Amino acid sequence: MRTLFIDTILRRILPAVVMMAAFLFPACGDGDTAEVVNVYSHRHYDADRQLLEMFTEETGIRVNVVSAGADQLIKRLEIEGEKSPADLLITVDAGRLYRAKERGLLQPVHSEVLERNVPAHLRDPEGHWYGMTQRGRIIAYARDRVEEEELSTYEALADERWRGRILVRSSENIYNQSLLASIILNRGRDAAETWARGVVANMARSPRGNDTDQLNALIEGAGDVALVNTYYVARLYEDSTAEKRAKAERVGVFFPNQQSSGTHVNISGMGMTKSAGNRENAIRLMEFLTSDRAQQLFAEANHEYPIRPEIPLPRVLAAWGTFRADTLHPTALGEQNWEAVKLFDEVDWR
Amino acid sequence: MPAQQRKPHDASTSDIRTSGITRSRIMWERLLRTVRVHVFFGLSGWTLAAGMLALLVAFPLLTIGVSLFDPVSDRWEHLVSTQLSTYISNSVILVLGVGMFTLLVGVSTAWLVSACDFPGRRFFEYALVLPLALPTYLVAITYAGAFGFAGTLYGSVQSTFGNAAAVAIAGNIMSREALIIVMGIVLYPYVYLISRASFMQQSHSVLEVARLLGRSPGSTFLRVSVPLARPAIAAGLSLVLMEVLNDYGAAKYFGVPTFTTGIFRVWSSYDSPDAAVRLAGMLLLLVILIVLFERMQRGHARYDNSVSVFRPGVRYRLRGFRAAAATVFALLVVTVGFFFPVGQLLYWAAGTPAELVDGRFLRMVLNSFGLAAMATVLCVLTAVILVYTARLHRTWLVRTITKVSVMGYAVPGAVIAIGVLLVLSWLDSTLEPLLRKSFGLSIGFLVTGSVLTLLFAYLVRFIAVSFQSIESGFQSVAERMDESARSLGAGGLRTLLRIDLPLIRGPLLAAGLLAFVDILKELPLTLMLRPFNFDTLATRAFELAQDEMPALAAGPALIIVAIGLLPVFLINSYFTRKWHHESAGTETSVENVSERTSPRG
Repeated sequence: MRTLFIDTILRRILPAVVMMAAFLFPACGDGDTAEVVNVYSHRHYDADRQLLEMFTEETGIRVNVVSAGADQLIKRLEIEGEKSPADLLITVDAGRLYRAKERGLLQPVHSEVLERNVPAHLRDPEGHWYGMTQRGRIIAYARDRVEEEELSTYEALADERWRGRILVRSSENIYNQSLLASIILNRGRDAAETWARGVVANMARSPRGNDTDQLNALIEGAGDVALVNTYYVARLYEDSTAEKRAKAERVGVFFPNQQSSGTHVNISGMGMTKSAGNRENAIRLMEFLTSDRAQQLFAEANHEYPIRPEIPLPRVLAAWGTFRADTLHPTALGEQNWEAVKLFDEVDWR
Repeated sequence: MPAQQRKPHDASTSDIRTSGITRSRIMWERLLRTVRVHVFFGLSGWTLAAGMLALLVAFPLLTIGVSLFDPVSDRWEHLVSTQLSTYISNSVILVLGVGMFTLLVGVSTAWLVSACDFPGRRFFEYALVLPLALPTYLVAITYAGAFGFAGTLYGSVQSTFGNAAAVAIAGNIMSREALIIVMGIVLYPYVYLISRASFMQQSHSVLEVARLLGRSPGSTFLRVSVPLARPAIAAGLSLVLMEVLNDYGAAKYFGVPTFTTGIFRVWSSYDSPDAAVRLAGMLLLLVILIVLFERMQRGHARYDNSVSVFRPGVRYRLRGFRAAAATVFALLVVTVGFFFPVGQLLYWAAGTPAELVDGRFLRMVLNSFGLAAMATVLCVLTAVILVYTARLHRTWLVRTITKVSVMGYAVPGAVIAIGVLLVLSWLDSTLEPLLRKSFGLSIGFLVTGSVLTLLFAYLVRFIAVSFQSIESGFQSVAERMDESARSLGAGGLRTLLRIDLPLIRGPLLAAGLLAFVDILKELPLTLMLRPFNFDTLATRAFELAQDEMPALAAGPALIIVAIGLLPVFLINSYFTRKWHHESAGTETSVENVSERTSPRG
């Protein structure tokens, strides 16, 4: 006997789906009135998760998180408007916080702790956002093919001697955009254009993959120098397999522009949303994330540089020594972002 | 079923008898019943329901389309003068390349397993669906991770073929050509599944006539089967092409600037979400062109079987070289599309600490599964209503509405998310004062940021998957069947439930399967619209992969694959079992159907 097809669906499948629904829906309703803080975050590292758990343990304030791309979260904030449940926006670069501020999505926060913990060049002058960690954009080089003395500045990478030797990811990447913006600010637009053209001419291949892919290509000899962020190199040095660690030995790290503007750094940061309904809790979380303990964890688990020089560095970062960072204000970089993007398109840096 | 349907009737009449209520009450009951029947199940009811559903689904897309008429900003002009032509040319090349690839692989494998017999056929019937469970970006990552610099196989290629070969392969593994192959090998199952369902539905008497008239297997395939399966093949192909157009992850990773990576560049780098939406609007136009082109080609031809006699077609038994070639071909396809990427994932997963299977993890599995199941039911139901209405009413308006509502599949998820958020937050802000006034409730958002938002967004995005499959299924059911049922007094709903749906159960299951697996893999919508603390397997795998640690992502990725496989197997086995069962017996479906629809009791 064959059972009717439709009956099968009605009797077996639908009830199962209804049960699923019953499981799913309670998960999203927050029935209790316990203290909470709601976070929209672009950061999805396990270190962050650990820190938020520590915060809840310490204060009893529960942290709710939605993590997605910063642009998507900003758009969601914008559409949700004043009724948005979010209290805090966390991004991986200050440029996005600058945008959120420009769109009127953030509100100023004044806290002695924050102002003491975060140096002035790593926060918004009006308190709309505060820096959390920083990362250097450095030149990684193949030790066996490049002498450290050959390297000096970002600008020098446009030199003909690097023809066919540079590895770098696409210009869609915000770290590259901020770097070019810093060159526009330090050297002027024309010099920046010459530089970008020079680098495109010197590329070992058209941009593809992420920073880790550039490092792997460097190790295998597809290029001799790569523009990457510090924590990717640190992670490679600390890889769990001995074979990878041995290969990572071939990569040297060079902090450019030490005699001039300083090495370009990008900042991961946070800002309170205009719609924040849990202001006090959000401020406590912001203060917690700039505390010594949190800063140490960022450095140890994620190899990011703390925002204050007095925090002890983990072994890998300490081995690279201290460096001079470019102190251009992120707001200035944010203002130049569009110029940088236009320039990239004009010189056809993919 | 008939018993269930009669219950309310019996209950009400006995009620009336026992309580002796006046005539007017009876009249009222009758009137109500008539209205109910006409409004919900009658002709106007179908159009109404379909119209409302289609509008609901089309609304977020319309907000995107409207942007085409917005004033142009200087950033838009900059885009047009610099990068737009690159985006267009790359997208067109990808569409053509992947389209050809999936047509060749999908149709040929579908024909092999449904009309021929060769060693391992039963196995390949299942295995050929497998790549469906893999997200494209993940397959891209595994190939780059295997053959790229410092990749898993880089060393072995180096020692076998020399350094130059290894560097050449690693240098080209992330290229436009490689992207065509990666996309093609992941996406061909759309064509395979839908055209296999159609090949199985084809009346074998037609094929037998072709054979009796002396056509060779190859000629029967090209001249009879493929033309008959054309709506199905076109349905599968259009899904593939829309999937190619909306892909972001793989194209971005390989550094191939396409329309969709362009949309995101405009959104994030140009800081101009409006220009991004405008680009998406142009993308929609492109899709409409593709759809129109296919329609025009097909003209007024119809593809239904007037006799749905599913009798055992005698399979072509392949021998010797041909049999070996068929097996090797199928094996190659499945290996490149599934076993290799999964092998790479397993290798990665084995070398990294396993994520703890704790409460959080179970929660993720439940979230993924529950969400996908509910959204699938929504998609299939809506698609059935839309297709059936378009079948009942072949009017221009109905067709246009249904066509617009399935465009969402070509639009990148994050752009759909904007449309969905706009619509829902508007709905919320209209609802809120109402609730406050009448109930004194102040609740912030009711729908926005809840699971409902996600369900709605999935419906907008994935209705096409169900729609295409179901529509092509309906096309092979003769309208005479419907007409007979209707003339025997069955209503629209009854005809649908008792005649049409049982006849198209293959495509119906294919529709559910495709939607389910697609939703399980979905990423950008889920990321952007999810409620607080809501993780799915896909978002977790992405977060890890995003962090440039593909090896860590391998664990959750494998579980997505495994869970995606479960329904693939269940439905596929239902499919093939039924088919073999039917093939084995001599009874015809028509007899079964007529037996079922004849009044009982």
